[in-house]
Amino acid sequence: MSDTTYLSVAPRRFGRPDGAPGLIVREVRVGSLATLMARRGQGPALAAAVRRELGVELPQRPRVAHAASLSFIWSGPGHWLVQSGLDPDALAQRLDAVCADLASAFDQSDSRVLVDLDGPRVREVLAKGFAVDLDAAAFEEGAVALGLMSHVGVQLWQMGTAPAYRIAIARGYFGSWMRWLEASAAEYGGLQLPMSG
Amino acid sequence: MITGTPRARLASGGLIDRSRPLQFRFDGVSYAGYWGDTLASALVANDLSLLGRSFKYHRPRGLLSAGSEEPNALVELRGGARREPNTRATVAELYDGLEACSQNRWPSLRFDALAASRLLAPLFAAGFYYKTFMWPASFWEKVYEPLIRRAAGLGRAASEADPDGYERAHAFCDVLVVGAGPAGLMAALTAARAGVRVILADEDFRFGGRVLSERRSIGGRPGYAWADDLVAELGSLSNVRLMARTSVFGCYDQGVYGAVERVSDHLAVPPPFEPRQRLWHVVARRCVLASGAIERPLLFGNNDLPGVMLAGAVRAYVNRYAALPGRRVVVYTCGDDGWTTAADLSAAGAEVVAIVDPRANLPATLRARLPAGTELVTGVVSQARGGRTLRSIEIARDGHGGARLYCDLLAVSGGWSPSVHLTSHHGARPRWDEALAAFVPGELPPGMGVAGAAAGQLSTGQALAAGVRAALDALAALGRRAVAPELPATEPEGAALQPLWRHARLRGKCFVDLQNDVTLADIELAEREGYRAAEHLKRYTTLGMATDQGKTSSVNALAVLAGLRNQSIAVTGTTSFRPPYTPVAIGALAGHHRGRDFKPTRLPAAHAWAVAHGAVFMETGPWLRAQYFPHPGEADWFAATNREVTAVRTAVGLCDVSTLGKIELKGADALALLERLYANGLQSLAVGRCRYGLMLREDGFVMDDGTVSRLGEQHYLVTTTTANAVLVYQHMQYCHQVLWPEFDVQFASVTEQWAQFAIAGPRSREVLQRVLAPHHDLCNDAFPFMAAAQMQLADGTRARLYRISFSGELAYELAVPARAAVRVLEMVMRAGAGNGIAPYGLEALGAMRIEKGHVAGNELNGQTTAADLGLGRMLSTRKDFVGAVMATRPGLTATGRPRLVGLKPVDRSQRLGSGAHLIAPGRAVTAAHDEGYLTSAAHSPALDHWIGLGFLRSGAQRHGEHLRACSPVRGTEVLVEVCDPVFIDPTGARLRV
Repeated sequence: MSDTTYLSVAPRRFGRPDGAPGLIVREVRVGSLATLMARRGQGPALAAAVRRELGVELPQRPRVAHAASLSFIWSGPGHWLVQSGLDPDALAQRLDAVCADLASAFDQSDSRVLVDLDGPRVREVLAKGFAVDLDAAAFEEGAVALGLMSHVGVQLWQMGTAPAYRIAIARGYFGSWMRWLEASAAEYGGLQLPMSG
Repeated sequence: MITGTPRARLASGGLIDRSRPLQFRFDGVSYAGYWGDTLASALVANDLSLLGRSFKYHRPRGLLSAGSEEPNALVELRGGARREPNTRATVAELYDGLEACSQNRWPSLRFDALAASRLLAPLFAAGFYYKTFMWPASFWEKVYEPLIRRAAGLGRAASEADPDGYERAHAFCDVLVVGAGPAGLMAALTAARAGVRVILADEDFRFGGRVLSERRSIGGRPGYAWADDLVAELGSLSNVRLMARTSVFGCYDQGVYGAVERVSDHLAVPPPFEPRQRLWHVVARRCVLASGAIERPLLFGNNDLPGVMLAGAVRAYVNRYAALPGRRVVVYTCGDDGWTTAADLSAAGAEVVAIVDPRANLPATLRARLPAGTELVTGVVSQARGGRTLRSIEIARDGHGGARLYCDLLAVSGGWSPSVHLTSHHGARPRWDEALAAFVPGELPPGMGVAGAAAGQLSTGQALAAGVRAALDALAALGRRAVAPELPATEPEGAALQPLWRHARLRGKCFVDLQNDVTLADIELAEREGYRAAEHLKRYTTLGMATDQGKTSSVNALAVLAGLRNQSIAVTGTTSFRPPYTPVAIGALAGHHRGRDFKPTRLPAAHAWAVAHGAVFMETGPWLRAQYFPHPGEADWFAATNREVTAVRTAVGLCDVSTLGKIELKGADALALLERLYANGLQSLAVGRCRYGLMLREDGFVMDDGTVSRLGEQHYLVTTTTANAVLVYQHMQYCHQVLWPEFDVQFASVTEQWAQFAIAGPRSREVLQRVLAPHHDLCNDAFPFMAAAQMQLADGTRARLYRISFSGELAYELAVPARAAVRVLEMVMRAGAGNGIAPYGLEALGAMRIEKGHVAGNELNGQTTAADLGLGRMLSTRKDFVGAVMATRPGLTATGRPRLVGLKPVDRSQRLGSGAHLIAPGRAVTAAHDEGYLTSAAHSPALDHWIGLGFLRSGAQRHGEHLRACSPVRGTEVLVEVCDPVFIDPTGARLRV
């Protein structure tokens, strides 16, 4: 038996069945996720180490920063979600090599379900549960927001210049969140695509 | 099928689409209307004036207004599961096939049996309930309440579940414009052209506000055409969101506005996938409130008769809807505005018998507007007369005596009250403007500006200019430069007014609040009885407390009260305005979150596995957990639970315990933080070991229990109970962030990351050994009781293994990454098939922990100390920890506190139930004799009788005593024996085998 996936593997329409879908959703499977937290007083040293070892500026405000093998998604002061193509053990080793004494890492590879959302009505759909302004005037590529979406805690970041978002949802609440998403996208029609990643 | 034009429909004009006729039914009779009608206007066009019966006296009522302020014309809209009581006919858009019924009448609208209650009217005066239903007290439940309930309420709610969907949504803008009348439209245009994000919301289905109901031109064109062009420009701009059918009902903190959008209310059934209504949470940097004004009626006897209508509403019906609310009309006004109604009616072909205006010496310019054939009466209306509709009015004139005028419509105008409601939702009161004779906005909520009639700028020209000004102010505050649009030309309007409140010539029953049937006499009585503040008057008489919130009544009431108190209206003041401005359906507030989606459900990673194994589920907090796994042929939960317990006690069982909170800690001061958090010492905990941990609250009571495992030098994992997982995490955050920020410790919840399973029973080791990679040795020396280690399963899956036991048997808890949960459970089941492995649920888990005397949520109830739980010796005396000081308070250390005990029925065949109270034999079952209570009860298959845990005063010293476990709620009483709380394996030998 294979490991759990949260959305069915086959493409599926939901809500309004006709016309181009207003929302496209797909589950994303990445190699690993981790919570990275700066050790006390080591914030600047951690940023320097990440800059030196990975060639990327560790975001100090709600932004995403991408290095070659991993991305840092700001989660709070001195606190990041690390997304990586490496497997969990390899990510732990990589983080150890970069910042062993400067930060603590916790494996979260299975604690969140990741989904990518796009489509012409994606903002309207998200507005039905998320109290964050995603308009281009207020939110841009690489911007991150944490908050409640339909009473479920989520972390969201914008994937490109166009409105496309990746959302991390607590695994246990994913089913309820998905029911809300389907209900909210129903008027525009939704399309669920096979898992990527 | 109805054909032909209804009698009161004008031959031409109006903003109705005569090419789109609609059919509708009212009280079972078919009528015709047009697209663009409201139910109210279509009823007017069909010459219906009696539309409902009043709340208290069942008096006949018709339309007072043409807008959302309507107090009278409340109907039941639609039927069956979609029946919607108390719908204002004035805001219900007509659609083909609409069904509506009058309400609060029986057997029919024309003949209403309860109208006889009018004869009892003297009984129903202010304070009637408070005075009447006082005594005897025993009558309250059986007589008074049913009586009141039968008489109360208006329409009938649907009894079936609402089949339609509702949702909520968030919107953000730079400028929110509330109201799309002349001021709002100009404000929106000004802001939109400056390029900022604009939302324009209006409760009407067509933008234009008052403009739609007036014949006046704007910019040389009909007002509605001007509005249409402006709306077209706004609609073409990507930075503008136009929200029709959207009532902004509340102003909250930080620029948040609540609004409800009636997405599908204008349709018989919402289109597929569309909600009926949508609740909007609008965050606006600035707001221009252009909510207009509401006309005030005038006070005279029988002023509630169908046929008495606000003069502005008459213009709306005539001009916007081409419907004539009367043939012979008298206009009764104390201001110039009422004269416009006379002119418009006359132009529409109605016979305007007279204008009654109390003002002497009217200017010639106004007199010149008197329609031909219309008499000008300088005087007041003393009362109206009629049966189910208006037939005549009696007028009183100084020096001329009385007179009677026959008419079927009396258009009344007492001046306009700005709709200031949203300006005072933050608590500020509006200010009385003596010159305008109206309340105008006082201190405004941050970010709000007010324009047009809402600010007392009543003429179209004033409103247009004010809208531009308010938008420029908002843009300046946003740091945006803007160009003022050119103001279109408007016609001159007279706005002179001499307010007329209560006058000496008034005769008969005079209603101030039409919806709640509050009369002038009620206000007088309340004042006499001492309810002299506006807020007291409101509560005593219920004035302004109906669903219309007193929109047409409050100023008149305050004026009457001011008159009685011989003080000014400014001194009398207003009552508080609170959201919502107009009624909001509870469904809109609930949105998606009803039924199964009432709150999010949290599922363990292996939920699908439990489903596949036939589990029966129960809710524990947000989680859905397996309660038991019934086998075919098992009668009930009891049989399944006994089998599951026996499997664990004799062979091996498997239970999903993933819902327990798991928090992982790292950092140089991880241990230091844990030492402060837990009451027992952890200093000696070695790497690879775990320990039971007890956490107190700051007040000294027990907060939670769990285990602390040391996975590395500076690496710990703690578990919490399922119920307290979030609470403990918050507590840890508080302790670290606020109390000891100097600690170098980092921690994260990993509850969702790791699925965790208890594998329990004498055969658990051999089953587990088959699942683990072969190099791991589980023998007692290599992996003893309370050992913890990171391991690998036979298939390479990463795992953490803890040798801990809640069941009291040899047991392990195996944690694996959540995505592997189902796969690993299948592996364990295969590995244990030959040993008779059984999945077990919460019932078996609970029964076994009671057999072992382990405390859980029932005992960790926030009222128990460590000593109460028999855990007093765990409190460390060698360190400081949260709750250490307060735990030593005399009340918490007193002897005689209820202590944890075991309880078993003396007659072993009897059943125990938690919640029962412990009473000594021979004592009455009263609180005074209460010595403790049962917290948990279960059947023990091993002992073959029921057992329980509970708290008993000085319980530890009372083992062997007999008491009665009494449950007055269930009506049961069982003689029980007090015993040690550990029923099975008291030495714990089985844990260490």
